[in-house]
Amino acid sequence: MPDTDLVPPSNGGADTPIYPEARRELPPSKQYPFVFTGNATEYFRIWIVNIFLSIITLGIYSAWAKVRKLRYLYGNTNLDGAAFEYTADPIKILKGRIIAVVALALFGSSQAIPVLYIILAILIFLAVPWLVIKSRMFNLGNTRHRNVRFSFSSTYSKSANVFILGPILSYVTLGLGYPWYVARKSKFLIDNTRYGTTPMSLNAQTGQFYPIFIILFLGSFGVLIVAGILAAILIGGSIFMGGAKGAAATNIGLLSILPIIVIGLIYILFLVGARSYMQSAIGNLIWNNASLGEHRFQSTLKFVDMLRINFVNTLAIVFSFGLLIPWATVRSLRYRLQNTSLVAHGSLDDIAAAEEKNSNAVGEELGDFFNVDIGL
Amino acid sequence: MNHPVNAWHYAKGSSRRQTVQLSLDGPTLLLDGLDAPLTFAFNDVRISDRLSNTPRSLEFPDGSRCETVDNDTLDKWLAERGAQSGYRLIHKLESRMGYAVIALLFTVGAVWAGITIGAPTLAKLAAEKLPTSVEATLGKQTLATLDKVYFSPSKLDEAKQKEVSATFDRVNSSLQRDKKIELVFRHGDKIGANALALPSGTVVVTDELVDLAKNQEELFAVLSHEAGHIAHHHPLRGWLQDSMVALIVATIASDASSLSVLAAGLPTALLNAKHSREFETEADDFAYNKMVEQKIPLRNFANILSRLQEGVPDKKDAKDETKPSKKTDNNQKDSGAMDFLSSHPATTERIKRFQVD
Repeated sequence: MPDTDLVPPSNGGADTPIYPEARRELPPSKQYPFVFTGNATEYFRIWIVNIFLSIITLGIYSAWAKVRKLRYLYGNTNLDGAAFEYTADPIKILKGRIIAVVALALFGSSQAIPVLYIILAILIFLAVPWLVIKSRMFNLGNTRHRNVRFSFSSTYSKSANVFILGPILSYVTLGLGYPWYVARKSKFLIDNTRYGTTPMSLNAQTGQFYPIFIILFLGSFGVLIVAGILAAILIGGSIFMGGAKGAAATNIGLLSILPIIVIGLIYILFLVGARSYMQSAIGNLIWNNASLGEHRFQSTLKFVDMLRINFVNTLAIVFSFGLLIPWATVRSLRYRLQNTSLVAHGSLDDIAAAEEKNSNAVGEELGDFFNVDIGL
Repeated sequence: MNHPVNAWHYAKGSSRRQTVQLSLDGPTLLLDGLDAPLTFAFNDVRISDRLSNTPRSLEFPDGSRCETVDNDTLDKWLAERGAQSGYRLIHKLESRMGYAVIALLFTVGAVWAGITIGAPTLAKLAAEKLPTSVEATLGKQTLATLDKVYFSPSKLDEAKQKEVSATFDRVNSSLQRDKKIELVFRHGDKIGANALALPSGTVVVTDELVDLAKNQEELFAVLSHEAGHIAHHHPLRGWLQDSMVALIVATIASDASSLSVLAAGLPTALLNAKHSREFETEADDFAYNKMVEQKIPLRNFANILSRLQEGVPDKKDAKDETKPSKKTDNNQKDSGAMDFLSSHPATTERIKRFQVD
């Protein structure tokens, strides 16, 4: 159980971060890779027991399930020999969930009165900047590494500049503003994060995000053209061969199914490809330009690896009716973590804890339920 | 008798770590390895509960902390001091493959029962309990949407419309409802000859279907089938069922983010096929009884159904037609409309049933 009174407030301000002096002459750097030590069998057992207990408690256990799941994943993420810790209180998550479910039910049933529905939809849109802040505060505030917690702080107006302005601008410019939105979002989420008293920052320029989206756009376009030609050949071929075979009914059945399977696979490959490209390109851009005090990060994700992992994961999940979800989660996490490292200048011993703030899970759970996208 | 536990010690508010050895001496926990040895009453130390083999933290009254991976020894100490928490049982469940298999079997059974029995039963109960006015409000948008996308105004003359309306009055005549089912005429355009039941309690009939029918008795057959959908609240039930199934699947697959959408589509699609067949049978039963009640020869249903079916393959041969018509079906599903020709796998069976005279 997290004890929020552990660190007295006075301690936070006393130790000022050492990085302004350190920047003048950087101490020799040392690279610490993130290491994931979890395995699929262990995680599967936790995952299935979570679902089982959630069902028999009619959903109440789901709050504990979330905590156990994240504790396992964080607890198996190591940096410099020390694991991360997720310290959220399940009761707080349960309270947040109950409020979120009630809010969602009210919102859903307001559809019967269109005016009310529109007003509520606008209110939710206006609440997004607040939900993002609350959600980040709760998540980071409950993440601990080497006795020091992360934290997040910002103001509604700063958040609105990203999460209200960004979507509107993307919409008005027919998507041209979207990379700008992604850049601003990443910067907002990282710049307002602290590890103890040490601030994080993202030094990537908006201009660096645009090439990624241009490549994504051109790439998608190319894939669609190739897929279209392939589909035409396959369908044409199967009709021709089906016709030639004449009355052999079983063969016709098989032949007419083949193009559907091939086109389905291409479609999955296309979706997964776009996702994998974004994960690797944006991930690398962000983490290669992020810093924690005088420390830097390094990210070496490769599109081809990401694509292979995501494609196999998707097929595995579909054909196992979801049973391989834990395996897929572990596999993808392991790859992403082993390709991320912290390049430390100086010792990791001297990071001081900051004053702790008590936060509740209402924003976090509301954000989850209304599908507010804050992922990095 | 206890071997010491290796741990990392952190002073309050610091990330600097030091290796220490913990040992238990009766009710006292000893810390060795710092400048001066520390002792705490074991019962004052807050020890996080066990989860697999992830490191556990020990929080001491002075605000300092230890982290250790020696979970087994910690568990032994907790047992010795009688300080075990309820999480021990959860850890036990999580640590044996046998329990996992039982949990898995139970989950598969519960999900299957929830999807095949729970969701349809609940949806039926809810749909029957809800006042018709609520149903009508929920489905208000459907006709407007369909009008925008597929239909144009009916081109039938007034006399013909009156004649069909009179036929439909006979369908309505002995219905036990607080609100009469409404009939509207539209020109089908892309949809062609068809009739639809909307959640708002409205039946739409296309000009093409009116033209296709050889007599009013055939129209009676089709329209009473659609009225059957409405009398049994099928559009609302279908929508409720789909939402519940989506909720069940989303809850379980919440880990897998967007990937799960693909996996979730499969059971939902299979289930849809099953439900729509049940709904069709219920609506056919309704039409059957209506026709017997109004003394309309059953053969009329079979006749118009087989004529409609003949029309379908023609359309599917023309490649351009295939795609839009498929889309039509999906969109109508989304909007909650039950359409006369979609997803009727065993049309021949249905025809046979009405070929008894």
